[in-house]
Amino acid sequence: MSAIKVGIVAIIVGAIGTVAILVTPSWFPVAAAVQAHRQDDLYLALMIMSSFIMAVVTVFLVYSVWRWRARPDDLRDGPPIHGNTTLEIIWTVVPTIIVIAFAVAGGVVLVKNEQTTSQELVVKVTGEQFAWTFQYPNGVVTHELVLEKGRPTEFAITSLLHDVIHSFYVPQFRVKADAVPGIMNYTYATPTRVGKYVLICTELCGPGHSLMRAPVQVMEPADFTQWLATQKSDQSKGGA
Amino acid sequence: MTGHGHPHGPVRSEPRSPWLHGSWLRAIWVSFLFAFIAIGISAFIRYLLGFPLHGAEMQEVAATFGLTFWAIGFTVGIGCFDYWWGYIIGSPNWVQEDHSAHGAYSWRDYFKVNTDHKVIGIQYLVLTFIFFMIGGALAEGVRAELASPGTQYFSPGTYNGLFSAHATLMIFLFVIPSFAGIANFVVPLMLGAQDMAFPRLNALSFWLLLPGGLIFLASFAVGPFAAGWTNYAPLSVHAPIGDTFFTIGVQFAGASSIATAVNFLVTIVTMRAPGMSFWRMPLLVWANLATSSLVVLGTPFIAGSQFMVLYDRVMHTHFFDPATGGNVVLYQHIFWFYSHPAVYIMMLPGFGIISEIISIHSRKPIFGYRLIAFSTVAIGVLGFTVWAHHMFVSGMAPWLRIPMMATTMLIAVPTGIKIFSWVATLWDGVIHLTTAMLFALGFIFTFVIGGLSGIFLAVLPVDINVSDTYFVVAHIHYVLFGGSVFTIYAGLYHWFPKMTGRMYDERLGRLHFWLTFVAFNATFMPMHWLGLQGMPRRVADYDPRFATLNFIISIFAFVLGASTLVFLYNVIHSWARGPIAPANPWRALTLEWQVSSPPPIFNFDEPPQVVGGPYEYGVPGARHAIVTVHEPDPQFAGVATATAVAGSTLQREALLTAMKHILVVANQTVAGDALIDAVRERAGAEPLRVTVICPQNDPGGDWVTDDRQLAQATRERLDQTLARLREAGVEAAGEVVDRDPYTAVMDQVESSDPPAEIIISTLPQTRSGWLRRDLVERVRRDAKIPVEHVVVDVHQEPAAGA
Amino acid sequence: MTSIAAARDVPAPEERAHVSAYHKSLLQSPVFLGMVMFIGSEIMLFGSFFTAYFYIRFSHGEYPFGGFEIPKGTTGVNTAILVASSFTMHWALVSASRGRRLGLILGLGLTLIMGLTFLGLQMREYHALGFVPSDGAFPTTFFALTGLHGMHVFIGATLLAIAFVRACRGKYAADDHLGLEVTGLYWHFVDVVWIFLYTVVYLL
Repeated sequence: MSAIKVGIVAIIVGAIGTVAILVTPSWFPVAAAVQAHRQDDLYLALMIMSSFIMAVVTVFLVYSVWRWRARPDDLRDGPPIHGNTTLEIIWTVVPTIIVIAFAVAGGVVLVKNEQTTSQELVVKVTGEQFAWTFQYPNGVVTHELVLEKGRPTEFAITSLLHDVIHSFYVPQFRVKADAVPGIMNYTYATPTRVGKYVLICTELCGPGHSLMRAPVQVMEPADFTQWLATQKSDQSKGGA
Repeated sequence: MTGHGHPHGPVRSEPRSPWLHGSWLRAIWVSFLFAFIAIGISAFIRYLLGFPLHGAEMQEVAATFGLTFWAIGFTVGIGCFDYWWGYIIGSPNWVQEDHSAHGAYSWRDYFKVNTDHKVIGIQYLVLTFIFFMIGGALAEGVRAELASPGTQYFSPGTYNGLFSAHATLMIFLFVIPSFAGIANFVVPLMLGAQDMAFPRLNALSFWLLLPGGLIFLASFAVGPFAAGWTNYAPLSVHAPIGDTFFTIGVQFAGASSIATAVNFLVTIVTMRAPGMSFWRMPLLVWANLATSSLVVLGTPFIAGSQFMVLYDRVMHTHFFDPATGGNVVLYQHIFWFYSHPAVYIMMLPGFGIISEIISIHSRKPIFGYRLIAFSTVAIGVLGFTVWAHHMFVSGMAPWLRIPMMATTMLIAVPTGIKIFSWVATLWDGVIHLTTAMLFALGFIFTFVIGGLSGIFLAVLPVDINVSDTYFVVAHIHYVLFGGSVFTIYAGLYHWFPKMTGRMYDERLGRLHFWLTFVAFNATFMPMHWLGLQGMPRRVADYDPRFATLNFIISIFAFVLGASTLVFLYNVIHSWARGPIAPANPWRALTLEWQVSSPPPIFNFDEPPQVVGGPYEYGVPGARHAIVTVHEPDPQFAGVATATAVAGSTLQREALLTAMKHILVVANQTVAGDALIDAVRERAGAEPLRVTVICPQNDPGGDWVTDDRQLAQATRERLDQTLARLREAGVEAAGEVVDRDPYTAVMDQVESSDPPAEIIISTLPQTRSGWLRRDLVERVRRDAKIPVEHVVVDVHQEPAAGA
Repeated sequence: MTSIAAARDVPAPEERAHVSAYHKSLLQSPVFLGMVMFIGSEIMLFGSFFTAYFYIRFSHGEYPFGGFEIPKGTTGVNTAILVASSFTMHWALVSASRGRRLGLILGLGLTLIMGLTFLGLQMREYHALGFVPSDGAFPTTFFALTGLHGMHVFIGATLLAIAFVRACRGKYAADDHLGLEVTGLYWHFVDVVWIFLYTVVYLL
């Protein structure tokens, strides 16, 4: 078979791979934020590209080995081909275009994910060995992160001054930012789904790192307002 | 290992006691002496300054100075500095061209300071493989703990130490120095050089590595360093004392690496054979050129970062203390400025190895040689521009993220060029599926997966999601195990015949490959999914819904560990008992294959003349280089010369085998008159070449026994014999060998250059240990060629040397 | 685990000479090149500490921050001494290549003395500063940079001392003094780093 035909086989294999990727149930946990949906789409595009690249390399590799495998007593040499300028240009330019395209896409998604608006909820997140604390604009302090569905939220994240680095990660939102002593780090999420999720520390912070988690809950706007008010009055009474 | 029967150059007069000359014994007491003195002086200074002599701070100071000077003392004691010391103090015994520590004449030379790049290469490979096994065992500990959720076997601090030490050993004590070992052995040969530019520095590089590794391991005695191999501040600054061990161990591993790199750079630039332009260098040399540049420029940054952590710990400085004006993220910038190029340091030599193997084992020139060379250099340069992709979520200046994404994406292009070029080399080749080739093919498969997951990680929003999860663990193992380790295995199989003079077992090699390939993919592929689902890395406990998958991964991880044992068995068994390897089993064109397996001690008699590229397969009569073997002195008339000026080994061998080859076996009786007469008698009848072997059994077998006198005496007797034979017009070569006489004889008989006749010379019956063991009868029975027995009574003959 | 030499590896009597001739002709420039590369790695080591210095310095407003002061004047004198020592080093090298032993020994001796003077004055300044490394981020980076440099002056002084003794013993010839050239290169490197350091840390 000529190289063109093998190439066609490779493209077909890549297409089959693409179909398999598309029909597979999601690789990810449930998507619970606008940022999550964007990341998942980007990831899918990357998977499809990978399917084709993997197919091209593997099909040509396997075909070559199958077709031109020699017996140990075969002492011939192969043809003295040193290169092919056209081919080399193609496989330099095409990957460059592909990676630039994904870099641009990634940049666009990043900018969109981090856009701020005026009606944002700002939650101050403080990490320490080995617990998370959340502070709301009205002064409420909790160890559970409760958020309002549909409301863009900015997380202002830090760690206690004499503590170590932690990292704020909610898999269902697909957002992450390190909690660093001495600086304020920011990430953004607009929750889209009511439910219970989890905040996981993802920076090695000592022996308690495996267990450093906090519950996350997204509520309907009305429920959230009520929760926040209840917390406020509880805390000013000196309670929980 | 080959020997000429005598060391080259004058032997320095050295103290007789092993406690006083460069040796393990001296290394042990000097290292501890240095450590005690250093701790003593620092304690004394603290006392003068009024600081307490007990407590955590004193411990840190003691650990810092104690470990540093222990390691330095070790390299001094083992003998790395003896030559330079002699130079500095102007010792009358000092000789400029001193080759007394050069070359392997017995297995003991591998345990000493030796300046032969081939010896050092093998020392590196054996030591790094031991650390590979230890690092692997630590990983099995991690996987045992992760086999089920909850904590079962290890306390959290110890568990964190397990994966920290695992990564540290694998990176600094295995992958990086293993490539240095392969390159050490192969590159000078490939260049047509007799050794590296700085052989003594080369030896020091090796001996710096061992104490560095031991310091890492020693931390387990005080509580292992547990902040990851990345040792981020502030965790590392506030960690217990094991962390200090890490910061100091890194310095020695780093110094070893830098010294080696300087050596390679100077060697490659100045010691290429005549005719070897840069565009006629094999790609392994290009790879080492780029890698060494990265090492020289990058490694000082990790040294600096660990110095800073050490200062913050011991001197209470404030590099990374935000409360007093320091900056936490600063550590990450400095650390990753080395540690990203480090991953290319761990991959580029592997790329070079794969280029060699794919070309040679598919009998085709490498496709796109110049573009591969360019892309190697491009990866090296670009590698310095991407470090902050490890810091996308770190809170660094936000504007830096998108440029770093761009540069990271671009690095995929030169890497992709290589992959496509290798596949194109295979296309329409004559493909031999040797074990080396199998690992090369497996590497292409796994490395493309690792490279693709790298592209995923370059895309900022994706990275933000999967950073510090098992997705990253999957990626790094695909590129480091499926990448680097596969290429190391491929290189070891490919150059095994050249290094050891034996062929490995191809079936065991195939078994090793398939076990490794299947177990590797089964272990690490599922980790991509685990990471996407949100399982963080560096944890001992995890969400119970990941339990089944983690259990399966752990099972395959243990299978992967077991596969290493297949390799180990193959190497040991083949090295001891494998079939003797020809000079060029792969019919390759590069220079290392144009000399014997293993090569002569000084590689080439004269610089080869390079006349073409190194990959000219498919062109009949094409040559990479002309190698000249020296003829013996023409004053010995009547002897057919061994001169062969040929592009092929076959021609040379044909000339030599035209003469009758006689094997002479003698130990104490060598240089005896009766023996020499017997040989002369035969020489009178026809042109003759003689190989003399002196099997010398070590009486005590204790490695601390100083048998240098004994070996020296035997060598001198052997030299006399060879001289007398040559006077009689016989072409003679020989060496002292360190094994029992029967095996030594049978090795010769079964070699690719067997004798036609054997003469065994022994003491009289009543005094001969050999005759008591029926040596002559057994050889007559098994060798199936004529064996003559000559009895020499050394007490009746004039003193034969010594 | 030994194998036997094939008969083609004939140990001819001239072989010792062959080894030396092949080896030695390549030795001249490689040693110098090796020192250049080693200095490259040293520059990068200073680079990591300068990175820390610049990062910390530019995350604060005024400089020096934290209320610390550094003596530009006296250190300026020290700078002049170190720069002068590079000139005497150069004189020593030129003398060596012209075979003038007196110039060589005097040049080396003066360089060594000036280097040691630099170290001594620096230590006095350390004492007189009034702050120690653990006092804050500025002292940390200040001592780290100047201390790293001081260590390198010490190494350079050691190399100079070795060269001085060898020069007195007449071990250097006009056409064979590679050890001296390498020492000179290292000393110039130490000086250049100081000029950069002094300018950036003290003056700017």
